[in-house]
Amino acid sequence: MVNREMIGKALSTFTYEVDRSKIRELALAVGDPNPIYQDVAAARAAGYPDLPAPPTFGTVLSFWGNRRGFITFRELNITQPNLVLHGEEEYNYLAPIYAGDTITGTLTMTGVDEKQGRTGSLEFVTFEFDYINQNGAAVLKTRQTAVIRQEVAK
Amino acid sequence: MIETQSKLYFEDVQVGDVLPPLTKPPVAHNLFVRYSGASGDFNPLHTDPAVGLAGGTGGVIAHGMLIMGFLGHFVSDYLGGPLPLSRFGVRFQSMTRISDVITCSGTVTKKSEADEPGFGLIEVTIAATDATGDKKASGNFVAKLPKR
Repeated sequence: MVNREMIGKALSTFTYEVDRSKIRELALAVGDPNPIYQDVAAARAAGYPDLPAPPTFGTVLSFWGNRRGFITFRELNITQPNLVLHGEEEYNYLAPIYAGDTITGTLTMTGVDEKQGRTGSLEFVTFEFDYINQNGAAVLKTRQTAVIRQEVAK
Repeated sequence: MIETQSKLYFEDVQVGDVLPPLTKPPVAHNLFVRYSGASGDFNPLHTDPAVGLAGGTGGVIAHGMLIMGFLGHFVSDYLGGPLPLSRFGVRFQSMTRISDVITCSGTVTKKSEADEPGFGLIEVTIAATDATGDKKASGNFVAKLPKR
């Protein structure tokens, strides 16, 4: 069972330097060839000061930024990552993120809900990440629901 | 700041508009490995078939965020870049496996005034579906578009 005492508490605070290479790599991995994510000259010609973060760049912030991810899971008593599925993801964009920015993130577990699934009991755990940039401006808020299976489906 | 940058204007969008669909190449095991490195999500459920089998998913499955990344490409193409987005959310409904062919689709469901003068909001329902019609993820986005 997920440790409910951690609900509402900040689990991790971390800082990440947004690097052009990670923007390029994420865009290529999702198959988006738009030059604004690859080529600084093309991004500038399109009016951006540098490469802009693609829509799902928050994933890079949450994993490469929050290097304690799996440690946090263990602290929450989520011991088997392969029993964790991703239920929902929501991004709220508050200001642009560009290569060269330094982003600070805070991770909070906001709730745990238990439901009976087809293959046994499931826990729906919600997490929120709040991100600010080097100027203290809020840039991104994300909300994530993880579905924790208690046992392997037969 | 170029938050106004968009190839789309509010007046160009109508409720009921269907976005140009985007079909991705069949997903491959190699893509899951590549996406793990790009995103930093190294859960072996996505890369190690033995772990996938032990976890009851029948082998490796795609990261949900890879599928949302496909939708992000689709949305970024429609909007002319990422900056008009104000909200983007999906629910993951079924697992994506090797060889699945994902198509992203969307329909404009709402137009409204933005708080900021000179801008309007559009809301678009989106989905990622495989070739058999199985929905992998669905949700919506809200974008702030300039008025002419």
